[in-house]
Amino acid sequence: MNETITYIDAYFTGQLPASEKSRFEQRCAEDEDFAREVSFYIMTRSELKAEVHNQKREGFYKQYQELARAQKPRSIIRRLTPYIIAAAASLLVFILVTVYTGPSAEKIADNYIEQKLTTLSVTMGEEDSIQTGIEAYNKKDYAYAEAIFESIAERGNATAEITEYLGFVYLMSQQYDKAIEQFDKLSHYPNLYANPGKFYSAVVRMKRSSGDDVEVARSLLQEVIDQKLPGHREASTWIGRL
Amino acid sequence: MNAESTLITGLQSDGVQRRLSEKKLYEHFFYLTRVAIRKYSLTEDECASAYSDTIIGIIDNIVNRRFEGRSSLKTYTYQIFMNKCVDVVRKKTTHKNSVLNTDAMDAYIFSLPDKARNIVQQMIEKSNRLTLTQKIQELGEKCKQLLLMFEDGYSDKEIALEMNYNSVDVVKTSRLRCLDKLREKVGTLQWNE
Repeated sequence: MNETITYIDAYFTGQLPASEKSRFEQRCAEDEDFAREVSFYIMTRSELKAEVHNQKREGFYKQYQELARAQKPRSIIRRLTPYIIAAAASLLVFILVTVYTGPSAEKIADNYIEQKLTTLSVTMGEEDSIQTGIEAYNKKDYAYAEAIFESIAERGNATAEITEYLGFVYLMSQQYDKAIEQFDKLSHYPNLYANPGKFYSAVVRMKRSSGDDVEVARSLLQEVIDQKLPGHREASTWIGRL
Repeated sequence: MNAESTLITGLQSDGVQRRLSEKKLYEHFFYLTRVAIRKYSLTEDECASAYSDTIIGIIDNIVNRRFEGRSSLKTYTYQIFMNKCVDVVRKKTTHKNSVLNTDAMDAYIFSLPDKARNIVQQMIEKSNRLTLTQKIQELGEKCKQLLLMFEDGYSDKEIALEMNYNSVDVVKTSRLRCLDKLREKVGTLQWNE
């Protein structure tokens, strides 16, 4: 290995003793070739630093867009208050009608989530990081749980179990598109003895209840019943009420 | 522990905790962007750029223990961010990437005494930066990732864990080998004369 680079690195990472540091600095001033190597080292590290910053900036830019999108409606809300009140009144009428005609798909999903998905069971012998993720989930620290499970998945360990956990985390943090993506992925896992992917995907759509969600959820639940997949008992009860 | 202390501790941790804290920090003071947009009439893009640069600088300072906590993190962030916004308004910022790049370079150069600094500074001015940037991109993916993680302030221990190296010593040796490899790629004549 080039000893000059090792020597220069030791200086800039603070590993040279004081006497050696003075010799280093003197050599910089007197030896042109050595100064050239130092300039290379500094330029390289500053270029790498710039690359690190660029990568962070890209990530932050996406986060900015998401946060700005989430905040925008608030200012619009202020301007549209009268219209919102009118809409709220209509919504209230709609809710009352819905309440008296039976629970909505969203309500059914809410009950199910509350009863079955708020706590994940901690299994002995799992990897530490999975246990930590489950604990975070059970403490409702979904952001931390998400980071852990995503990190495991990024390391190429996206097992059916991790895919399922990620789906739950996204569901609980209301990232419904991502949750559906995970459960759809889960439903395509081959050789899974009991695959709950389609059932959970239906639960997410019922929870979101937007656009054609309820329609798609109904068809998924029908598949779950027909194929006797996990969740078919709940599906049989729910399908007539959607 | 209050929210600011939690953020600082998280940023000074390794791995997942650190990455999560970076996101949380970004979100924590995001409301300042609304203030800046109103106060300085910035576009969303200008504000996003100034805010991201602010947070990146603060992360660097916290990770490298340069943030001494003399003011609250909120005041610190507010001051840096507003200064950056003023820069945007005055249209004085040159290319935003190069601003940070210069900051990073200054930190190394200013650790040298005057005489050595002047000479190295002259060498840098004559250097072929474009060649260096190209050659960095040509490095193997593992080498590049290793160098970037080190530059991002990760400890050798954490790099060893994340990149499956056998030990801290192997990380250090591999990093120096990567620098060496890059030096060979750049070559003396292409570097400066």
